[in-house]
Amino acid sequence: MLEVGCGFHPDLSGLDNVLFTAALLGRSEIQVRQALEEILHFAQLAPKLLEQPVQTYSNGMRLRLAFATSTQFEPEILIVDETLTVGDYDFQQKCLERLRMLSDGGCTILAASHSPAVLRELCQRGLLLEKGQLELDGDIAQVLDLYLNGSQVCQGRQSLSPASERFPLKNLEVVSRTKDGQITHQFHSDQPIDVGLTFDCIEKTELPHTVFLLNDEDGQVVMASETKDHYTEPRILEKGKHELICSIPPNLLGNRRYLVSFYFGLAEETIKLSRVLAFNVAFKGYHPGGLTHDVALLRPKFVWDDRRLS
Amino acid sequence: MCERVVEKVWPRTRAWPDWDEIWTYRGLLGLLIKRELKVRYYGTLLGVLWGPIRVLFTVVLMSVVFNTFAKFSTAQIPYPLFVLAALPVWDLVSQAVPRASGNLMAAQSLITKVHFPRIFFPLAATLSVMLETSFIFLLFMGIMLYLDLGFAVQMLLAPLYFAGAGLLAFSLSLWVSAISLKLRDLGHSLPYLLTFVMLMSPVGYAASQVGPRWATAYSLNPLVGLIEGMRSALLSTASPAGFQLLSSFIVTVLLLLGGLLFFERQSKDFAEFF
Repeated sequence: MLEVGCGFHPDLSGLDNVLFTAALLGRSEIQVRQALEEILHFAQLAPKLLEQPVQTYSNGMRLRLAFATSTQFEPEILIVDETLTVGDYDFQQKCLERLRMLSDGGCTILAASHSPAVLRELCQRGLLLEKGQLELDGDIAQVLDLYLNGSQVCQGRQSLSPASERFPLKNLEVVSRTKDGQITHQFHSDQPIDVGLTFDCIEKTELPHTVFLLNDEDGQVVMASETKDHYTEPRILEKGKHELICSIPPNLLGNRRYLVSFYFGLAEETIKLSRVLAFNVAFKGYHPGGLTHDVALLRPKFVWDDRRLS
Repeated sequence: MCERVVEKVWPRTRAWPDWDEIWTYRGLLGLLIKRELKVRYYGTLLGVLWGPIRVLFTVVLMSVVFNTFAKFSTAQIPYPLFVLAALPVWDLVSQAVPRASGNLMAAQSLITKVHFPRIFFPLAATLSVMLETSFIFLLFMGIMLYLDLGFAVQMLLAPLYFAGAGLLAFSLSLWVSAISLKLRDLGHSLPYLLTFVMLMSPVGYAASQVGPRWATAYSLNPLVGLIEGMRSALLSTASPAGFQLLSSFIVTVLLLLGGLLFFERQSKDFAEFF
C-alpha cells in the first residue's frame, strides 16, 4: 500500500522513479518494463519524457505518472490522499474510473478527500473526523450528510425548531409519505410523494410565504416550488394544528437520494430550514431495458412524436 | 449489511531487525544504492569522479601539511602512498556515516508513508560508499604496476580489512543516523567529530609514533587496527599488533550488535521526528 507520488525524487528521471515506486510496491524491474507502455499510456506521457528528471515535469505530469504507477499493479490496499483534486478534468475522470475498477476487483481503497462527489462515487463506508476525533463511522451517504449539513438528515419524519422568536408557526414537523398516508423514505418513481409540514398556530395568522426546495446530494437545487404559485389570495389560518402539503407528481424524479428544504419569507427576514429531510427514489423505468436508469437527476416522461417529412 | 470483520493491528516490537523482511525487500536495497549514486552526482560535471578527487585531495592536503611542514616518519614509504593506503578505511567510514544520517533525514516522505526496512538507509549508504571507495584499490594496483613492485601475499588480506571497515562504518551509521534524527545537534557536530576521529587515527601518521604511555588507550579506537592492517596489506609494512586487531574486532562487533538493537528500537518512532 502506498500513497500516490511519495518517494519521487526530483533529480531522478521518470523511469528511475517509476522503478523505485514499483519496487516499494514489491514489483521487479522486469514487471515494470513489461507494464511501462501501459503506464505511459495511462499517464498520457511521451516515452522520451521518461529520461527527463522529474523536476522538469509539471505538477500534473508528475501526478499522472505517480498515479499510473501506483495503480498499475493491482494493489490490495490503496491510500489516496486528495490526489484527485489535481490534474485536468479528463484525467480525474480516468482516475476515478480506474479506482472504481480496482475497487470492483477487490482492492481496498482508503481515500481522504474534501470532495463529496469523489467520495460518494468511490466509497461505501465513510469516517468523518472532527478535531482528531472520530465523529461518525457509517454509510458514506450519512457521513457526507453530516459533513455537508453539520447534522445528519433524518428520513421519513423530522421535528424542526426554527431559531426565531417571531416565527408564527410552532411545533413544526416534516414528513414524507405515499398517497395512502404511509410515512416512509423509500419511494418508487411512479408514486406521487407528499411532503407534509405540520405546525401549530397559537393565534389566527396568515400562512407565511413558503418555499419548498429539493436538492440532490451534492447540494444542487433540483426543483423549487412556492406557496404563492398556488394560492393567489392571502391564506388565513385559524388557531390550531395545520398541515401544509406539497405533492411531487409521479414520473418526475430520477434514481437518487433527495433532500428537502423549506424557506419561509417573513416581512423582516427569511427563515431557512435547510435539508431537513431526505428520501430515496428508485426509478421504476417506463419500459424494460432502459439505458438511462441512473444518469439523470430528473427522469420525467416526455411527449415524443414522429412525422413523415418527405 | 455485511458483517464487518475487525482485525486490530499493533506495531510489532522486536529487538532485532526482521531478517526475513530484509531478504524480501532486497531488490529495494539495490535500487536505493543506485538511487543514492545517481542523486549524489546529479548535475555535476565530473560525476562519480568526485570520489577519486576527494581521495586525491585528502592525499595532497595531508602530504603538504604532515610531510612538508611537519615531518612524520613513514619507514621509507613515500608519504602520499602512506596516506593513500589508509584511505580505503578512513574514506569509507568518514563518508558513510554522514551520508547515512543525511539520507535518513532527507527521506521524510518515504519514512512517514511507506513501510520497508529502515535499516536499508545506513546499509545503502555504507554499500554505496564502499563501491566508490573500492576504486582506491584499482589506483593502488596501477601504482604498483607503474613502480614495478612485486605482488605480496599480504595484499590478499586487504579485502578482509575493507570488509571490516564496512562493518564498522555500518555500525557507526546505525548509531549516528538513529540519534541524529532525534537529536539534530549530532548532524551539526558530525564534521568536527570526524576531524577529531581522523586525528585520533593513524591516517596521516603511523600508530607506532604514539608513545607507549598512550598506546593501549589509543588502540581502543577500532580504526587503529583496521587502518594499520590495511596499510600493512597494501604496503607490506609491519602488521598491526595482535591486541590492536583484537580491539578493533571486539569494538566493531559491540558497536554492530548495539547499533542493530538501538536502531531497531528507534526506527519505529522515526516518523515522529519530522
